[in-house]
Amino acid sequence: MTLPNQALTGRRVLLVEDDYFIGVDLKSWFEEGGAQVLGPVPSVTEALALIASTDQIDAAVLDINLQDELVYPVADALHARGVPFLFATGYDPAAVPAPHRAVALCQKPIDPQIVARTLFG
Amino acid sequence: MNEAWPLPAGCGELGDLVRNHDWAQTPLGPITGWPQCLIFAVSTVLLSPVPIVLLWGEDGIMIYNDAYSGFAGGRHPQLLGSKVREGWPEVADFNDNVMRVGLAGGTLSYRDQELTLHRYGRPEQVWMNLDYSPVFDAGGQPAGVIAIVVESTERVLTERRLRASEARFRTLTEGIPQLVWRAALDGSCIWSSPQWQAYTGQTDVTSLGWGWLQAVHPDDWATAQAAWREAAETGHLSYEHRLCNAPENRHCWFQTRAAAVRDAQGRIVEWLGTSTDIDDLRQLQERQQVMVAELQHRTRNLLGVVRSIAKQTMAQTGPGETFRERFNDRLSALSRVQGLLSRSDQEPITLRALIETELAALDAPTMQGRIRLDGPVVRLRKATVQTFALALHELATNALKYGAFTTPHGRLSVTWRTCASEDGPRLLVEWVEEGLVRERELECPVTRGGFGRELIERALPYALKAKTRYELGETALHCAIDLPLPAGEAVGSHA
Repeated sequence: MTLPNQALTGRRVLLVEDDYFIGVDLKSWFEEGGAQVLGPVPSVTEALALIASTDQIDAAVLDINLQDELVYPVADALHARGVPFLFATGYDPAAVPAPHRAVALCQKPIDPQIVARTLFG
Repeated sequence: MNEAWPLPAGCGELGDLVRNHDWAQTPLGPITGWPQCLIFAVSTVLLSPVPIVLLWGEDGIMIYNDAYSGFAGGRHPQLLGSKVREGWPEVADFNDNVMRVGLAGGTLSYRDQELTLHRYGRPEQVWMNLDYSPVFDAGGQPAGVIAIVVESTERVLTERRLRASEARFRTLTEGIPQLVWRAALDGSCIWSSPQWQAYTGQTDVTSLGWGWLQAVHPDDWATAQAAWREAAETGHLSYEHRLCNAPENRHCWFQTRAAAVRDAQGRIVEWLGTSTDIDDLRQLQERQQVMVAELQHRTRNLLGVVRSIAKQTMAQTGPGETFRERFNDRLSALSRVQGLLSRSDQEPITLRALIETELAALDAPTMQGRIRLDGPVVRLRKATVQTFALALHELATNALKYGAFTTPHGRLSVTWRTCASEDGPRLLVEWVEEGLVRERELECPVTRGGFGRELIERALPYALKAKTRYELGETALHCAIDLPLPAGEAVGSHA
């Protein structure tokens, strides 16, 4: 968990996660790896607002189920800007609707190393 | 053998019997003296492959052919030359009428006439097609009656069995809950059961041919047609589709299956099928899939939360006994909330239930008199429950270890109310501890507020969009939580 990942240094990573604890955990890990974290934010509205007001986003980690709303509008916004992202979720990959099937998916609890490798190779 | 006898060849076994019979003992007299009309009639009867008996004279003396001898059974050959009344005593009245009508020049015809005969020494119910017509003598007077006797017993019984079988089939097909139908090779309907008609609103006419497809959901037409094409090759038909329930005006899921009805050569002649309502089953399966997916989601999320809580607890306590105690406490709180969540479909989680659960977990019954809970029934959304429960757990634990319950006169009051705001309804919760002794705060290994304070001041605003206030004074703790109450969080009567 604490291994710094060179690939993260200086990256601006958006985190969308409705659970406070998981959000804080993820944030601290990305920051330990040298990344600059945008968020975390717990809702679609806040995520879209953050995307709109931020010039540079290098990557994003999106929880799918945000307190009874789904994150897909955020995925669409990121896709439109060409920002790479992945889903971090408790759901099975089969639960992801067709337009978003191609997006990489990490099962919770998330292994930050895998997240970093998936986003930045 | 009478050489003068002019019978043609091919008169069969009866030809010989007739020739050799001692007719002198009968009213007909010796065969050599028979009138020409009798000889013609006998020749005609003997040559016919159809069972025929000639009843000659007032007494109806019987002369019959090979085919009739088979019909006569045990009565043959004694029957030859006997009077019809004596030959068939069990149907004497019937034959009396035949002779009366015939000798008066009339004809009679019966289809499937039911009679009881004693051909083999016991009564036997038989059915026959009987045709009687008179035979005239040279003077133009009726001299006898020709009776064509074709037994139809086997056919009548077969038809009866068939009717009984059809009645049973109908009782079965009309009594079972499945919709039953018969279809031709290509799937076009030949017959539909009353259940089909009642369910789909179609009539016995509109369901025929491909009319039945109109009752199937258009999205399932391709499935149905493909299933029928496949059935022609495999001899099995099985597929699922939606069917319109006319009385309720909605589509329900059905499973349709059919068995091929084959002829003696094994060729399919038609299909006998049933359509079974599986809508409840499908709904249950779908609900189960959703539940399993939700459970997986919740479980995996929970593991993430546990990992995070472990990390943050460790950051505050460092390794050791305090970590173990604190971490276990928090795991227990998480476990309690999972219990509430798993029952929440039957028993919605209320704010009061959540508070009472956490206070009860302190296992401090003596404190009960010093606690006041007051507020309306507020049902919490499942998504908010976990964070809320963890916050309440930290408040309760701190009250027991460092707060109101560490002094003899400390009191806890938890009150809540709902109110309207510009952004919709809100819930206001106030947690107030009084009668504290501040010195204890300084003794505690983890500063009061550490994890609990983070939950209230950061986690609740983050996850529940709450506005919170946490004020620790000399003798009192005042914590206020003000959060939006979305539509899912119903407000009931005061309780």
